[in-house]
Amino acid sequence: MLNRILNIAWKDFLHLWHNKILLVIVLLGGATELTLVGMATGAPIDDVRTVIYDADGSQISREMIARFEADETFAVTVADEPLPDDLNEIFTGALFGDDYIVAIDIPEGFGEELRAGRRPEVTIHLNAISALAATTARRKAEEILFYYGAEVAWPDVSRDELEAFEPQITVRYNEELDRAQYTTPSEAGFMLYVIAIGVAAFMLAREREFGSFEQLLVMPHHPMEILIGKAIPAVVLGYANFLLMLGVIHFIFGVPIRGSLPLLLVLALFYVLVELGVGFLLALVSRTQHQAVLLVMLVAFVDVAFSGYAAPVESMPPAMQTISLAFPIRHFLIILRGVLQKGVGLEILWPHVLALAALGLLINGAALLLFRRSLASER
Amino acid sequence: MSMIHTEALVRRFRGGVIAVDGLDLDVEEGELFGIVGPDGAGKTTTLRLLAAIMKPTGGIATVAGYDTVREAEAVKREIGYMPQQFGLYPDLSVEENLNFVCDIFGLEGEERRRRIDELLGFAGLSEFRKRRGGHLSGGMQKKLVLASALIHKPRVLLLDEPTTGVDPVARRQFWEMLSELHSGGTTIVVCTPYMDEAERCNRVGLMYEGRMIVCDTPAALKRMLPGVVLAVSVPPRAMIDAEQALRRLPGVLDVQAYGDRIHLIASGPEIRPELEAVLAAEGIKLLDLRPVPPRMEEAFIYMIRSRGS
Amino acid sequence: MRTHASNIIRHTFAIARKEIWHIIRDPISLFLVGFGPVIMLIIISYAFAVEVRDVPTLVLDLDRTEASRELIERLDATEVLDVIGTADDMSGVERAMDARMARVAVVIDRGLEAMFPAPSGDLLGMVAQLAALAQVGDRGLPVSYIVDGTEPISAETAIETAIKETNAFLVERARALLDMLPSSMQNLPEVQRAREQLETPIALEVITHYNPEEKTLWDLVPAMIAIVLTMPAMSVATVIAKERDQGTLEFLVATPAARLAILTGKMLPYVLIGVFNVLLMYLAAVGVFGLPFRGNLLLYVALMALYEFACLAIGLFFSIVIPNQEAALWVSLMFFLFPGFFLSGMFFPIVAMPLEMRMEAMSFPVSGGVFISRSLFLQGVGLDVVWWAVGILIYVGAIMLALSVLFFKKRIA
Repeated sequence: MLNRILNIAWKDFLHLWHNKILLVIVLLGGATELTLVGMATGAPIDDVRTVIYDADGSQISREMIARFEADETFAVTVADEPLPDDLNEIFTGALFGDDYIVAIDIPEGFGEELRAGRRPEVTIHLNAISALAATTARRKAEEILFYYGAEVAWPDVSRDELEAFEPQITVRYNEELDRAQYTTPSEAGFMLYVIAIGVAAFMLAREREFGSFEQLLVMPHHPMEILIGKAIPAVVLGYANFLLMLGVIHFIFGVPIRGSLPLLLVLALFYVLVELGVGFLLALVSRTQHQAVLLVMLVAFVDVAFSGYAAPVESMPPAMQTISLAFPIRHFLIILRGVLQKGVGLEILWPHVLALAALGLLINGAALLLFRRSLASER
Repeated sequence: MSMIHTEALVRRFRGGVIAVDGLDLDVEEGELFGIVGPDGAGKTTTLRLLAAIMKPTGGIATVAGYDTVREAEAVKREIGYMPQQFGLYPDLSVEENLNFVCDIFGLEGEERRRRIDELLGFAGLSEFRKRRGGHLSGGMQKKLVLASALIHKPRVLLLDEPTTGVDPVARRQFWEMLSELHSGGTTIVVCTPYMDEAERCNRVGLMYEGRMIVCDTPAALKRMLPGVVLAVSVPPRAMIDAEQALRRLPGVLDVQAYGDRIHLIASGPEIRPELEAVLAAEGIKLLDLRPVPPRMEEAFIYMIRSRGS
Repeated sequence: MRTHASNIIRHTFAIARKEIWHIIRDPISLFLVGFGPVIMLIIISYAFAVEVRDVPTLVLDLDRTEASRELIERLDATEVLDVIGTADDMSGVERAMDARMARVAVVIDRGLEAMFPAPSGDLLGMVAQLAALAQVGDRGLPVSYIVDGTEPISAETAIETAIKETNAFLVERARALLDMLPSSMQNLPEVQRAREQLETPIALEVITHYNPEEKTLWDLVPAMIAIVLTMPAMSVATVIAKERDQGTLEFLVATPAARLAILTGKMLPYVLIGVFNVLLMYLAAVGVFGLPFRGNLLLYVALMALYEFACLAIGLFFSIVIPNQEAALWVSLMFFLFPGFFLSGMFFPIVAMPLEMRMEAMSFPVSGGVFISRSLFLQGVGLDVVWWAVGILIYVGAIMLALSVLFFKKRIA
């Protein structure tokens, strides 16, 4: 039996070996993708294009502009003519030749009024074509204006005193709020299973498309043996990718491994086995590789949506939160982040491990059932 | 001017394999020309070179007066090409497949309708218009591909093993179609592994290791076989021993088993006493021994063997 | 005698028609290609554009006063934070955070209520105390927050909300105390000054254009339209490989159809599918998600068709240079989808990047498509603004088509 299983697995490995492009992609795709993602999201939102018109021209307003210039978030241009009534002209680049994200209008008499404590008004126009950039710029601008304004208006209050007035914030697990530390584990969990189900789905769909499925049927294999044989390459490749990605997220993106690495490795293997059934299900409902890839994509999209991969699950509508419990990736991402960043173990993660086990039984059971049925119908 | 003309045609593949090695060939207009040879002899490559879908490494080829390299697209207008694989779309129906080829060749309206009807009738596929290509039997698929290769009334037909994997009845029907085309004046070049098909050609070329080692009419080719062909009958259980014994006999050029008989090509009928002696020495009873007319296959096997040695 | 050009056009349409038959023949693919993009748009937009809200928040209230309860209620009343319960001690907080039951913990130490003077007795002393509220000295504010940083974007929003609400709580409570002073005292300079310090020194007016509520949904949906339009390009990536696999390529190249005709013919149906998808997605964006569409719809459809063409040309190129279906599929998946997600400004705002870097990112056609889609949707601008992205799309499309024609040998290798 073991022989026959390995025989099938070996055949699929040979197929991959002969298809070098596919092999390279399947082996290195995950880590490459992850690096790209980490680099794209890890970069701070810097140099937001900002135009400032200073109608005041006082020492105080110039000093305030200098504060903006000194801050990394902004790339400041000082306008030499007033901002137009139609801000579109600034935001589309029609007026100053660059499409600015922030436009700040400092009114006449600003410096004098601020010194006198009369709360001068400053207007900030935000180009929210990217909500993320606009929000980041707004937060930073509010901070600069508050501290600089206090410095001028309340010279007797020190910065330390102002800060003591604010609640103390402690950030846990990802102290710097580094977005790469968030996206790279997500991506690792995601790619681990996309590669695994992709390989499983393609290998099976390929047999059906080329008619070699019939050949498998006439061989003296038990359906289980065929499935297990087909599963081995998918698991091996998915897992190899995961190890590589784990290296990248730890050594390149500096995500700590605070918990037990062996535990994580075992749970990751367990997780691939759970997801594998999804790959088989997809392959069994599609007749060609083309259909299989479209389905893998669709499922990947849906998974991304429900997994807490990009947006926190708690913020979803309650119905979606409940549905998301049925997605193995949601549980795995919690496990992954728990072990890596929080350093927790089974004592905390056991409900998610149980959930994975239940989903795994369900999914793989369904796959086996469907496989038996399709065998029966092809015979 | 010949319809097909090649001079020192060479095709070398990466890795140094020479599939076609200095081929000189002339096929006259209206000829039905067969190419035979073992697998890997360069038959398919030759047809692809003629169909202008592969570039030769050396030499020249012209088809219907057009150079296959410089005037490839003109060649393609004059030829109908049938690749070895199915070559049509399994998910499209018979009619849609033909419509597609009509689209390509710009056949429209009444003319298209008539042509399709005519070809479906010719191929015996009229009842299967709506059936998907992939659901046709092997023989019907071949006839469909032939029909679509004929849409634009090509002057030259290039057929690559058109009946491989087809049952004998469908094979005969297919060849009847070819005979009809042939009598209509179409020049046909067909690669085939079947000797009975080769016998139906005007001329046959034998390819071996990229070269055309002989090229003549079937009758002339069979005459090239020296000596005689003897059919030897022995008891079934002694077949293998007999074959081995006969092989060792001096003056025997080739030995082939055909069911219950062994054909051997000998230098002359005078070998008979020695033959009987050898079999007797092995304790094999000779049931029957008589000369038979040479077959094409035997002629080719002999030619390839004698070349090999 | 037909001219060469009319031959090419005829062959293009012949191939296009055949390609449409193929698509229709395969109902699953037809459905996925025809409606997959809009389905994905809706799913993704619902999931990703979730505005950060209801972040589970745990309370550890050691002050147990009216003030601390008021602050907790205030936090719970926000959209962003959702108070899910209270902890008895720090270890309870730790456990809840570790198990991801809570992502924010607010710890109110003893002394919150005590910060505010009692509204009786020495009124001037009370004013002095209020004025010095800012100067809580070395003790600091007895309110602190512990935030789970594993999801930084929502964590940032939670932090912003926590700080804002805490400040507003302090200011409003102090102001209420000042209001309770008799009117005779209101004009005293000490009181004035105390009031002044409860305000920010600069009155800030923030006007957010295009997307006044800074909703992620508004910039995500137009971007997603461009991203999911790469799906047809992924389908195209298999077409040549498929013909090669099923042996029909040999027949096709032996016909007089020109290379350009074969390739454009194969793309044409997918461009049409793309246009159909654009219209569907436009309806979904406006109808389901309530986005404004401020540009010219006709121009939008035309530019998205151009964008689809550029993506298809890349897909086609993959299909030609990569010898088999599976590899072509994987390469296009890796090329379009995954980087598309990240480089297209979904997580990282490319529009805010310095211009030189943007040009590079833009030469990735998905970024160009996202830019055009957003600009027309939200800003309502026209060609005068997006011309350069259009130029890049034309350039990429033409180059890739030219390369495809160049690499697509009408010969068997």
